[in-house]
Formats: sequence, C-alpha cells, structure tokens
Amino acid sequence: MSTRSGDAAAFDAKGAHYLKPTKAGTTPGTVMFLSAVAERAPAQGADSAAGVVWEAVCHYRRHRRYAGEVVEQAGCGGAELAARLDAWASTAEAAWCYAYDTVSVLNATSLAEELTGLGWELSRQFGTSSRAMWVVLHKGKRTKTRTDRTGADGEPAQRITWSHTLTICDAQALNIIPGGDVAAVKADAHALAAPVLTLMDWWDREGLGRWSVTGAALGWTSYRASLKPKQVVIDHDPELIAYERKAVYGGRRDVAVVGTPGAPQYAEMDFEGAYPTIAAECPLPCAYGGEIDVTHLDPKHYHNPSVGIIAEVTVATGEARWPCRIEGKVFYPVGVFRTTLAGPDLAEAWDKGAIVEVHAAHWYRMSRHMGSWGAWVKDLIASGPDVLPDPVRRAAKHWSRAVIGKFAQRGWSTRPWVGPPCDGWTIEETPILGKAHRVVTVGLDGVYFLSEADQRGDHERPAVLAFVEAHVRTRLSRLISGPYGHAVVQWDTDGVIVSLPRLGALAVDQGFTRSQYGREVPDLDRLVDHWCNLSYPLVIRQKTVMDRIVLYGPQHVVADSLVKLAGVPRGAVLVRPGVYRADVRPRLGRTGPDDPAGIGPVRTAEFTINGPYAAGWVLEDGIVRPPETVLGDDGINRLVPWAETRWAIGGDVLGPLQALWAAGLYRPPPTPATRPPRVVVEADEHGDILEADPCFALP
Amino acid sequence: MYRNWWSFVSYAASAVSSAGQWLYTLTDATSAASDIARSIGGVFASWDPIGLSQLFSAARRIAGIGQTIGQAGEETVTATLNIPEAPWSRPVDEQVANPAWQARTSVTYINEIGEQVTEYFVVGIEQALPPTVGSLKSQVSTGIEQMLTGQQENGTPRRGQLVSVDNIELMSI
Repeated sequence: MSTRSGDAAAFDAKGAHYLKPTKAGTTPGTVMFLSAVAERAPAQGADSAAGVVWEAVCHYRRHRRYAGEVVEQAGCGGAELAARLDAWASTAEAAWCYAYDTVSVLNATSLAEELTGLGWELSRQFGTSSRAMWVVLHKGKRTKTRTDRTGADGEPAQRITWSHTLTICDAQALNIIPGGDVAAVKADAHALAAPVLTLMDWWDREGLGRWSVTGAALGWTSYRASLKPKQVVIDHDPELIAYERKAVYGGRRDVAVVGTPGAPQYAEMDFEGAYPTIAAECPLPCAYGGEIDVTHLDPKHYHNPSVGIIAEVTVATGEARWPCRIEGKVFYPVGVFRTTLAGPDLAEAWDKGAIVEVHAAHWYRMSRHMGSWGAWVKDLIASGPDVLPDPVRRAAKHWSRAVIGKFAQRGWSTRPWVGPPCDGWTIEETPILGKAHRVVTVGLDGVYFLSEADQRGDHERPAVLAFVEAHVRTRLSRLISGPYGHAVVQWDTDGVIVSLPRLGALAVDQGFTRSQYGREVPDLDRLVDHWCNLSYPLVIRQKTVMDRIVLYGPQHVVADSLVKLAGVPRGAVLVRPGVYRADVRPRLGRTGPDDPAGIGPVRTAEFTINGPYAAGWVLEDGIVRPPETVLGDDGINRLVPWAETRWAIGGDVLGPLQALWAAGLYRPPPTPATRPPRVVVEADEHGDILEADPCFALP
Repeated sequence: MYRNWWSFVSYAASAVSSAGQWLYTLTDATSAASDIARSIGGVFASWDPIGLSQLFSAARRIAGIGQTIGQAGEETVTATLNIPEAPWSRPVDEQVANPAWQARTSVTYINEIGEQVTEYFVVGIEQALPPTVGSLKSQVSTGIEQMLTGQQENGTPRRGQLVSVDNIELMSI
C-alpha cells in the first residue's frame, strides 16, 4: 500500500483532539420523582392544572443538611406542586426531577409556567426526542465580577452563576422501565423512584462519572470511563466526517417473501449482543491515517487488522449483499453500482470478485479501544437478576445499542432567540431556509433559545459505526446468502426469522443430522453451532418459536409471539384484521402564545397494515427479488425498471402490490390496490440514515 | 403592556372576514380591551390606549404583509416589500450584523392520525431573503415539508404530510 503523498492525509488537518476519558463526577444528590394524573375534566374556562392530582417524593441522597432523608407530599393543582418542588429544589445547588412522560406531566400540571412564577428561568440546556423531553431551569441569578481579566469593552469580565439548578427529565429516556410497569410508575412516584435510584446507586458504586439525562449519554459516559488517554482521535475536518458518514448505512433488513412463508413453525434468531460483541472482539478505527493511492492499493490490506479502509468503489454483483444509496435511500441491489464501503464489506466484496473499480480509499489506524467496554457491557447483560439489579441490566442493554451510534451523532449548538411574549412553555421545530439540519426552538415565559444540530460533535468518528455495522452485516449476509438462505425469510440488522421445516430439510441436505429412534432427523443444534462458527465472534441464538406468521416487510411482522410494526406506537392493540389501535400524541409543543391548541393531547388512532413494505420486487407468489441497479455515465446509481430487470427477463411475474419505492418503475394493475395512509416511521436505532423504507409517504 | 396584551392585539389586528376584510378596527380593540380590563382584571387590569394603539399598529403591519405576500405575483422582488419589524426584534446593531427574519406561517397538513389540521409554524430566514415572492413561498413550503416528513432523528414534535402553506407573515427580527 502506498499513500498518495507520503504520510500526508488527504483531508486537511483542521484540528483534532483525543477523545477524553470520563472525568470524575457522581449522580445527583437531590432527586425528586413526580406522578400526576388529571382527576377530572376541568370546567370550561377553568384552569386545567387545578384538577390535577399529584404525588411527589424527594430523595436527599447527598445533602449537607438532609442527607438520607426522604420526604413526600401529595396534593392537587399545579401551583401547589410547583411550590413544593421549588421548596425542595431550593435547598440544593442542583436538583433533578424525574417524571414518566415529561410532556404529559408538564402539560397536565403547568409546572413549567408555575415554576417561572416562582423565579425559575429557562436555561439553554434542553432536549427533545420522539418520546421524551428534558429541560434545565435556573434560579437565583448572581453576577460575579472577575478581578483577573477584562472583557472586550475593557471592563472587568463578569460571570453569571445560579444559586439553584433544576433538571426536569423523563425516566423514559433511561430505557430501564419495562413495559408492564409503565402504568405503575405513571401513577406512583415511589414506583418511579425505585428503578432510577437503583441505577444511580449502582452507577456511583462503579464510579462511572457524571450522571446524564438520557440512557445513551450514560452509556457513552461509561464507554469513556473505560478509555485510556490518547486512545481515540476525533478529527475536526467536516469533509472527512462526511466521507466516513457515507459508509454508515444502518442495519441490513428485508424479507425473502411477503405473506406467510410456508408451513409452520418459524424461529426468531439473533446474534447475541451483536454490537458490543464486535466492539469487544474486533479492532475498530481510532485515528485517520490518510489517503491511499488506489493505483497501488494492495488488496491484501482489505484483510489487514491493523489498517482499516473505507473506499468508494464500483461493485458489479449478482448477489444482493452490499449497500448503496439511491436518491438518499439505502438499497441492497444486484447489478452495477457505486458505493462507499467499510473494511469488512470491502474485504468480502474483493474476495468475491465484486469490486470493479476503486475510486478513492482512505485508511485508519485500528485498535481495540472499545474492547474492555464491550466485554463489560456483555457481562452486564448476561448477569442474572441475583447478581445485577434489573434496571442496570436494562440500561446496559440500551447502551449496547446506543453507544456505538454516538460516534455518528451530530453536535448541537444553542443560542438565545427571540419570539413573541409568552406565558408558559413552547417547543417547536423551526425550519431555517437553506439549512438541512434540524432546528428546535424552546421558550419559557417569553425567553427563547434556538438549538441547531449543525455542530461537529466532540465525539464524531463515524468510521467506528461504519466498521461495526459492516462486521455485523457481513455475518448476517453469510446466513442469508449461504446454503441455508432458502430458510431465512426475514432479516433485520442482527437477527433473522427462519422457516423451521425448510431449515430442517436444508440441515439434512448438508449432513447436520442425528439419529432418533433409528432414523435420521435434522440436528438444528449442530447447525446453529455451525452458524456460530460462520459468524465468529458473533453467537447466534434462538429466541422464540412461532406457529403463525405474516410478513409485510422487514419491520412489519405479525406472529403469535411477536408483533413488530414500525410506525405503530408501542402497545398497539389489534382491533380488526390488519388494523391496530394505539395512543399517539400528534403534537409535542405549541408554536407560541397565538397557538390556541396548546400542547397536543394524547389521541387514539387506528393504523392499517397491509404492505407490502419489502425493499425489493414482490412477485406474484410473494417471493421478493432484490432491486437491480445500473450505473449511469454520470456516475449516479439508478434503479432499473421492472421490465428491464434480470428477474422479468427470466420470466418472473410481478405481483399486483409493490412497496412505494417502486413507484414509476413498474406498470401497476389497472385497478390500483388500496394502500392505507402511513406516515410515522421509526428511526433507526443505530443512526440517522434514511432507510429504503417503502412506507414513508402518504398516498 | 406588551407582554400581557400582545396575544389579544395580534388576534384583533389579524382577524379577517370571509371576504378578506379586516374584522376589527383599533376602536373595536380598544373597546374590547377596556371590557377585558374591567371584567377580568389581574394582569389585564392595567392598559393604556396609546400603548394599545402602537401594538395594534405593529400587529396590523404584520398581518398586512401576510396579505401582501399572498396577493403578490411570483416575480415580485422581496426587497420591494415593506417588511415590518417584529416587536420582539433584536437590537439594531445585532440586526445589522446578522440580518434575520421570521415567517409565521399558517399551514394545513395531514397529521399522524390522518386528520387535516391547520396550525402555525415559524420558519427562520437568515442573512438574505429569497429574491422573489415565488422563491420565498417555494422555500418556505419545502422547509416545512422537510420538517414534516423528515427522518425521525431523535424524534420530531410533529409529523405529517403538507397540504398547503396558506399564509406567510414575514417580519424582520
């Protein structure tokens, strides 16, 4: 291998820093827990918060005067609640208040508005997600004049400090409360306190550092606690970050067939702790090396564990195995396409002779910087309930999915903003013309802040996520495309659903049999062991066995023991065939004081599922064929219309219903098939990459 | 005065009849404010007619630009529009250093549960306005559509499908 110009990196060195190990810190000393329910509908014109029955408990975990004390109070009305929380929070420099479903509680109690009346002010620290929000309030502003330096105006510099800080956050964001306990923790502040305090106590015992508002942030802190100084370099060059990001695709997911795939039974299998296992066992990028002169690229470096390569290549393949982007969506096509792949995918493509041309390649230094953390998280997940409390194990499971994604997460900047006078709080997306990133405005009592996801994160190294995804993807692909592929009917990132009769037949064909009462029967245990060897270091396990299953798409699976419906809220209930009913909150915030609707109430909605949502062509018999691509002279990937695909030419007959991605690429039947409206699509838990989710738009 | 009465004045100054005529005059608003001050009291007890007329004037200018933009031709140059300043605008030196505008838009869209609703959204514009009214409308529409249909990166407060952008009230901040 030779670099283009000695050791010089192709991307400008616009600065870099080492990812810092976690500094010392602890969990909050004063923690409050809150539950609130609207006892009765308020009379017209009456204050809606007045009828709210609440219960609050304050744990002084570490406190100069009240350490160890637990105080509680119940009452009615938002004003009384705010007064109580204000009294508790005002005894400490920093207090935290947990609720389950913060939006709902703030909405029902008008807590933020009431606290504003008691002198609390909105800070620039806030955040939202699809399910949860958090906000930090300040009270007791003090301006300190510094004697050691002067400001730009020549006057002594001033520093603003606050006597008290109150962080209102959502226990949902910790991902430690099982679905069956949600009703209990919503209604009982003590039930809410138990898992959160358990996790906090354990966190302190482990000495993991500063507490955070979300589970993902806690997991990230725990990873940084395992780092040694100068282990991982975070580059500042936005072009380099963008290049790495091109190799991040999310998990591979699709179905082999739409409908019911043959006779029962079916088994759900997955790689046990796929991401933390890769983190524990495989070297991952830790620093950018430089550009490789592709004319002298030695293919053996694709397998070099000390050198990680991300390359832009043209692939020609008859096997749907490698991802590419077409108009912003991710596909796994056959044909010829240009794409950016990370090391494991590159090595596999090279070995199979699929790489036609390498256009650009960059190399990375590799190390096992996530090794100890990955092994630690795996141990936590595997620990029994007698060894580790359940909330900790649930938290670890969440971290195992979320932490590696943080390497590709963008940073946010927040600045003061202006808006109309306002009583109460507002939270709203605020598109800014010409900016593609997300912008959110939060206001409380007429004080506004604007937050943009436009910053280089101080943790951005998307190459790490790209390599982890590629490692898992290559192992998943070995199962899908191997001799047992006929049995695999659905796959999603790190798991598959197999048809057990088909798998049994294939096992017999491949010699995985055992003797039972004198006759040879399939030995699936031995076959799964064989799969584990193929997938090393990942270990595959069988999770559930199902008698009935209907596949609409990779994220839309309905079975007797599994209901997986992307876009349909958790807890959805089947009310009619193909129709689910669930609670949704159409609006999280309001646009401002002129918006009479206020914060949206929870509504019940019906979601119709009939698909198909496959990321390939659905044939008449339900079989799914991968899309085919062609590379234009302009270097842009294009999907081939159905009639020109190898499948159509080979005599396959297209089914009447196709996923939305195929619109315009085939001739639909004269009578259009009915398709229900669907809007919501769940985000990929591993990143922010547009998937080829075919159910993204309304009809 | 401004803090407590802006919401009321903004509504009174921007309400239009089905024929597109302003529904209320300053006299109507003043009379209603007097009634509110007497009957509700509290923070609304104090008001002054001069302050109210200034607020009404500002609110009417903002509502008026919405009508102007709605009726203007696509090729109308935005620099020729008499864009009002929002009462909450930033200090002048900050405005000069970093020009910015807010477009308060009335938007009709289909929400997550399939209902067609009309709500307000605020769109930000920084440094330079789109050159023509046509490009302004197009860019505002695109920005809102992207927000409604975009990937749920850490969640979005609202999701749905844009039907139409009904009104754009542009103000400098």
